[in-house]
Amino acid sequence: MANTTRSSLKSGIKSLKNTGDVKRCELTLARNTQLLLMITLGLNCLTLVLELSGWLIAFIVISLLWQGSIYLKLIVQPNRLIKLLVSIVGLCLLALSAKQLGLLNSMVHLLVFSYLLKPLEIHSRKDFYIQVLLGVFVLVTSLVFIQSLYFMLLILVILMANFMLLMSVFIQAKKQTDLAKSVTLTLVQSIPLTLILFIGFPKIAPFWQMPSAKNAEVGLSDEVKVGDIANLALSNKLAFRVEFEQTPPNYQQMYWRTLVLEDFDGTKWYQENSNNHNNKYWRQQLKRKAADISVISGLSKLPTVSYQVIAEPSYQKWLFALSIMTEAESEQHKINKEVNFTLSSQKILNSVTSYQVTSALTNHINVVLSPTERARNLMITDSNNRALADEGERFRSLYPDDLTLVNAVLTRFNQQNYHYTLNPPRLKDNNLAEFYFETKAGFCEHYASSFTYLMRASGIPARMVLGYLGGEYNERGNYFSVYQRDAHAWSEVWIEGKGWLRIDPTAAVNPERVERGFSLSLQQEQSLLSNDFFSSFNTRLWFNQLRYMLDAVDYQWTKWVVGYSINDQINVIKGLYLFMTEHKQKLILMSILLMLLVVAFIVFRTKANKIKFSPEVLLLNQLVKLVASLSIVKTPSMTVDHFALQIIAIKPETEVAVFTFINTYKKIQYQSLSPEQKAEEISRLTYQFNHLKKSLR
Amino acid sequence: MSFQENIKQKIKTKFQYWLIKRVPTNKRQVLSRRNIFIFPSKFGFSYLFFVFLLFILGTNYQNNLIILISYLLGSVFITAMLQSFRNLSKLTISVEVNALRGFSGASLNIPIILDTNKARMAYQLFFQSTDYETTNRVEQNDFSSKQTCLIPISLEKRGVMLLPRLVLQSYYGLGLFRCWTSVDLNISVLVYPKPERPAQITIEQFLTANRNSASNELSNEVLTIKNGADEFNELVPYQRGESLAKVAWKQVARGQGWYTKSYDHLINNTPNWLSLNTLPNAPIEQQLRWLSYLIIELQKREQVFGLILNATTIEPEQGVVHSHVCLKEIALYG
Repeated sequence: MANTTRSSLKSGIKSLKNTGDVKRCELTLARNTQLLLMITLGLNCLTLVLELSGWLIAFIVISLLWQGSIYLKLIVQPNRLIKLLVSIVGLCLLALSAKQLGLLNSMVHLLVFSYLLKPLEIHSRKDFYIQVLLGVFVLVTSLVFIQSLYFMLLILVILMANFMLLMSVFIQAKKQTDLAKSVTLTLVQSIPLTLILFIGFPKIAPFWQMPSAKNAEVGLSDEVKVGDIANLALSNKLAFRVEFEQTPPNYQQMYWRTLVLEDFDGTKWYQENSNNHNNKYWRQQLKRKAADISVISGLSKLPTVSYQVIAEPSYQKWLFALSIMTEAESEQHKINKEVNFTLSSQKILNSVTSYQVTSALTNHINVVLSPTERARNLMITDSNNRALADEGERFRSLYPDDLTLVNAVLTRFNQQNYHYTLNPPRLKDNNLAEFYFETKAGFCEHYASSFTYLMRASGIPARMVLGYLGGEYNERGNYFSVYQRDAHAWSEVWIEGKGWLRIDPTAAVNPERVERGFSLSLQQEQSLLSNDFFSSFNTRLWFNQLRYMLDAVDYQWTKWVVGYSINDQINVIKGLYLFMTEHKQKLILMSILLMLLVVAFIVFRTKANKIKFSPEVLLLNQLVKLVASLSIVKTPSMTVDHFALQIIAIKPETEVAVFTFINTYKKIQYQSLSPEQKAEEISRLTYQFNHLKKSLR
Repeated sequence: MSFQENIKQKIKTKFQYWLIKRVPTNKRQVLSRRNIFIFPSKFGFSYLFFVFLLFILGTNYQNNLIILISYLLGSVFITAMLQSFRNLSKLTISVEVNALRGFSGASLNIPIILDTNKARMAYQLFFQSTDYETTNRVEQNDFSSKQTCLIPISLEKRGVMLLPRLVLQSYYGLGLFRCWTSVDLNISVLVYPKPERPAQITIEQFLTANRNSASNELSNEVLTIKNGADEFNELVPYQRGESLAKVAWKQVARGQGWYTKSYDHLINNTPNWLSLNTLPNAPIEQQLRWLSYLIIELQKREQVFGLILNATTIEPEQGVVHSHVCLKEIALYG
């Protein structure tokens, strides 16, 4: 044993090194994997398709076709020059479109672009791994833009495809279903821990500011011309949902006050910014940003209502609340209370935002009007609407009392031939007088703005208010859904002793709209005008039932998953703790029972294991132990004959005894014997064993 | 630099000692918690970093869904760990043959038996050495029953070669973990010197030269021994149904396999004596290589030959077994 050469292997290995290296360098993916690579590439990019520009989508399609042709062996892998050209062209296009895309979208484009190019550069396992991770990243990025339940389910399915791609390298399964099965198993096994983490792992505040998605603004805008809201009313998109803590107020009280517009330039209503105004008094007033609830008198006597609003992303800042909001808070964004007792968020709402509001229910805000405010809310430009200004003065001369004047105008709306319609005739230059005297057909903003103008003309301070009216009650989820079509405009007039009083001229024209929502004729009009196939005004009962159910599911999803906040987290954990302490005894009892069950199971199993060995096997085992001293080892793979021969080889004198024992053993083991015969044979075997034992000594 | 190397070396030796204690030498190893090691692969670490990145992204956007996905991916990491452990656990590695032999410079397949009753995925087998990254590995996939793997190793120096620890590893379970075991199956290989044709003499010359100088007494002696009733000259692989009385029990007991003794050849060849002295002058290793060549050639030609090395003499005989005895002698010479 002089030349014991453990180390000699080292040099031997070196000679084989080269062949090994060559093998590892050129990673060739199995066809199965190649196919999955293409499928996942397509699916991952598909989730972002709404955010991508046309040229990149074209790139995706070309890239897929290209890889498809490589897969079908129509063409070979492109050479370096082509790859370089493609990447340069792509980067140039990206640079050109970067400005209009905004930071976030440019980054998404860059990500997708590199994800598209990577498949051309897969030379090793590492490249493959990078490709997979890039794919998952592309997939997850789409969640920045869309957060609905169904989209999330889609994402999970595509995530599964990505894992299948990853696993296909390790399992050479013939069928995709096998892969899908094992991936599903892996994901399902991971769910409990995921849930525990989601419920329990502390939510952390954002570390730094991220570029936000640049999307088109949705919903109300802070400038309103006649016709704007009628357009908005054609949209069946969800604006926000509300869940009341107490009994919800009546439909007529659900005026979701959102924007107060105090300035009118003859065609549109808007809110003057402090930046572009010269009047120093107004600037002073505008500086006082935060609302002071204490200036409202009689607030404490009013009934209050608390509710949670979950607003869909609108890419604007304002929030919705019933009049008069007194408290509002949110964990996601800082909420500002505006001077007109409306709410706005510090940041643009680019994701689902939930906030808690307490409101005192009333139709008037009893505040004192300062001279500057009075002047602002009386200002009219009569250039465009001369006739209407004269009408206001006429009303004033007839009715000296403010309230009687208001009622007189409303009576005119009610009794004269005014129409409430989503499809009013076009007005020349947004002329309110034309509507008031001639066409007499319009939507809420026609009535609200001509009414407000008329009030100002007759010397009553008045302003335009935008918001939503009502909401659709979902019984299954016990919440209200407010859609964009519920957008509404009304007026507030300042009456001595009452303050800002809400007057809705629409109520005078179409009382149904204010009491219950869209009337049947209005619904038909809306369905006709909006080209939304799944109009929610579908009258079929089963359809509505299904819609309510799906919407309730979506609501719970939005509330508990999308909007799951630190507070929710604390509440859930508190709830769990309370549950535990409440049912302490039961839980202890249950855990003891469970432990007993486990113990019983273990005992039972070990017993079962013991019983498994029949007497002849036990005897054989004894023999095995006995001959172990003769350094004869019976490995499990060795047959008994083999074993017997080994004993004989060492102790030839025991040959007869060994063979008789083994033959009897085989007889018991492999022949079908009746129980009596078996017992007989076993006693014989025991005798033979004892004999053998003696002869072995 | 050298200091670092030193520390590295020390840690490695420590680890080797620990490994010897933890996973002792055994011909048959059942994988369990005791001898399975698991650690994230490079990709595993990148994956973790990626999950962390997603978590940051989700947190910064206050996007619960992205956070949820990051938790899911994190949980998949843990699941993959258990999965890759289960992929190796309860697998039995064993080696059946213990007399392995081969010529230096050639490669030899080491048969390793893997026994399992459930599907095992994507494992690799290789013998660990100081730079095992470059080891030639056997990559095999998906098996679900007993199977034998042949691991090629190249033989270098003559003598007894104790094979290093056998490493069985798998990246199964998404490639996030390297799950491996390092077992010492106590496999030794007898490495014969590489047969090399001496340039100065051809085999024919050698034979005729020997024939001339062969002493008669020696050849007679050999013949008488050959005629002895108890002697047999060759072992023939045992066939089912043959008489057990003819079985070469000694060989069976040594675990060398099943052979029957064969008696029926009468040898009347003149014995050829091989010795270092008859060979041209050269370094001893070179001479041994020549001897190795001569033994093989003589065996091929079914010649009777004996071997004289300094102290030991192997009586002339014929056949495969005899040539192996001679080769063993020169392999272990010195």
